[in-house]
Amino acid sequence: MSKTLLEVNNLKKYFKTKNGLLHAVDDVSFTIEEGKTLGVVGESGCGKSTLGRVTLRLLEHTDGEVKFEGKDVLAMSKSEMRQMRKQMQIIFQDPYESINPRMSIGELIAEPLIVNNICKKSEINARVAELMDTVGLAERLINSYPHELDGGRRQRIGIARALSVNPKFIVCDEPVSALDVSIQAQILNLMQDLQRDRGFTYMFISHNLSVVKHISDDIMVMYLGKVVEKAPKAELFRNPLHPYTQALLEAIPVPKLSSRGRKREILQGEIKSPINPKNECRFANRCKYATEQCRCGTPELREVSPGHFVSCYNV
Amino acid sequence: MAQQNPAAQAPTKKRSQAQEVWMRLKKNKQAMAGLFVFIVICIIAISAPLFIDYDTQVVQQNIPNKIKPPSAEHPLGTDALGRDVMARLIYGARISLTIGLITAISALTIGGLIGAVAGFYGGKLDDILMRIMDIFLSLPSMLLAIAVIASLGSGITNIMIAVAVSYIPYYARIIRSSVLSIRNKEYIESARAIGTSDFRIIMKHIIPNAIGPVIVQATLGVGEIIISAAGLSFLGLGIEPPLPEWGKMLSEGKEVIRSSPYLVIFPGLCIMTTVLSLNLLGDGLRDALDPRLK
Repeated sequence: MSKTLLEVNNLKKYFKTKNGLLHAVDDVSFTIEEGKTLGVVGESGCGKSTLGRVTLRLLEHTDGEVKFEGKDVLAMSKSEMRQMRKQMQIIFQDPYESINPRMSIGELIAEPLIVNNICKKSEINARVAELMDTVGLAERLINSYPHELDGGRRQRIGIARALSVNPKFIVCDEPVSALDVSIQAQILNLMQDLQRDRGFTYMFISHNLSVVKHISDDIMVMYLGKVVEKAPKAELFRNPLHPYTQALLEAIPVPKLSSRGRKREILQGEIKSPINPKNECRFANRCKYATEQCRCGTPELREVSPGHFVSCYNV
Repeated sequence: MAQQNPAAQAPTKKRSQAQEVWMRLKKNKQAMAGLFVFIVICIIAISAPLFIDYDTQVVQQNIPNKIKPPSAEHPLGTDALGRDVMARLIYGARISLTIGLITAISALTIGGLIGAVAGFYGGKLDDILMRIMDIFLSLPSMLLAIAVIASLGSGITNIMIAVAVSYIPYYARIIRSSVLSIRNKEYIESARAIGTSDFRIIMKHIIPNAIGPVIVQATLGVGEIIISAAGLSFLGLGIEPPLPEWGKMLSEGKEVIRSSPYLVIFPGLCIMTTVLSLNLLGDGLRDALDPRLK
């Protein structure tokens, strides 16, 4: 068993809204081992992106701790945090939004080098060229602007920026969901190659189960700010225990003629509001197995078999 | 396209932001025309002492020769005190341009910084800064300028301070609203994730993206400022009489506008040409600063 790189304990992030407290991330704990990938899945609004941002302290947390190599990131001072940012990076969801349209590719990739004093001024150009080569951007694009490039190339800029500081840990916030399917594969392969070559640890956030299946070692399923199930990839796909996970896996389209007309369990009902949630299982109103117990208390995440955690009373 | 800079010849060599902007600006004919006219005006203003004697041609009164229409001797005529209008206009460019440009730039810088900080940090700081700006806005700008001059005394520097103070809130408001729309963009978060300091985020990411509408406003502002300064001079609070200044000449000329309209037309043309050239330049600059509009 390899070393634990990131340990998140009871992390909470509540937003104040006019109608009450919005529980975006509620009591989430997990660990990621060095060189591994944790996939985080869940539908829109379940708090996966917020979780990623709070982990990197792009949003301030409400409660809990995030330990990176044993040091609590959330308790660091501003200057310590600056140093820390070199270790932990993020790749954003929408490459059309996440890069400054007024900067050329060269400037965009050079920025983290300049800001963090990573290399001497005279070496910056060479380093930028090297990074562009690593992520598969042609060198002639150095003076181009983001609007001249397609989504895949833009996302490569985002990846080059994240790589430039030599991080150990990268949060990938739906890095391929805004891209064409053909380009998704290129970007995913690039990320996997980088992981293999440089030993990156990823936290891969996505709503697309097949993408997560492709890239992850462990998978964590979130629903309304809570972790409902967490297991190694193979285990989760073979033996999903939580009714929500089961419904998610059911929803993956199967491209086979023989499965035409297959009966599926389609999830009924609406997702509940995350504002001031009641003390009950958050999935109870959509769950066909829900009992009285589910409506009277919040189930804890517990280990049902080694490495397989689930939060459901009925398992 | 011709490259002056040998460093920019290799296609993979990184070009600086300024080179990029200049390359884009060069393609814009209107902007280049504006730039050309403005440079000509500046050259004339700067080189004025070479061909005009300030004491005899600009200041010295020659009452018998007053209010003469344009002639070979005085190409633009003479004013109510018999002074050559052309000489005064050329010398006036030195003063008017100084007032217009320095005031506009300082109002833009200070107002822009206040607006950017207020918009970027939000919350209490935003409230405090913008309420102060509101107080300034609630006073008529002329009154505000008069109050500033009354406390500082007259003189070119004080005029510039007075007019700048009354323009700061406008620029602060414009910049703040652009910054508010940019602050929550993902690329700002991306810059923060990379470890960029707040100062650099404001200077490198927010201001370049927010500057567009303000640049045009500021180039128009130069003309307004010249007129405001003239208004103050008219009230006896600004430029001291013998000093030639376009706005002041304009207001002096309007006493005899029916009999000798050229005393109003020529200073007016000067202000208009300057403002137009700056405005064309500003328009082009806004487009050149935005790489998407190549």
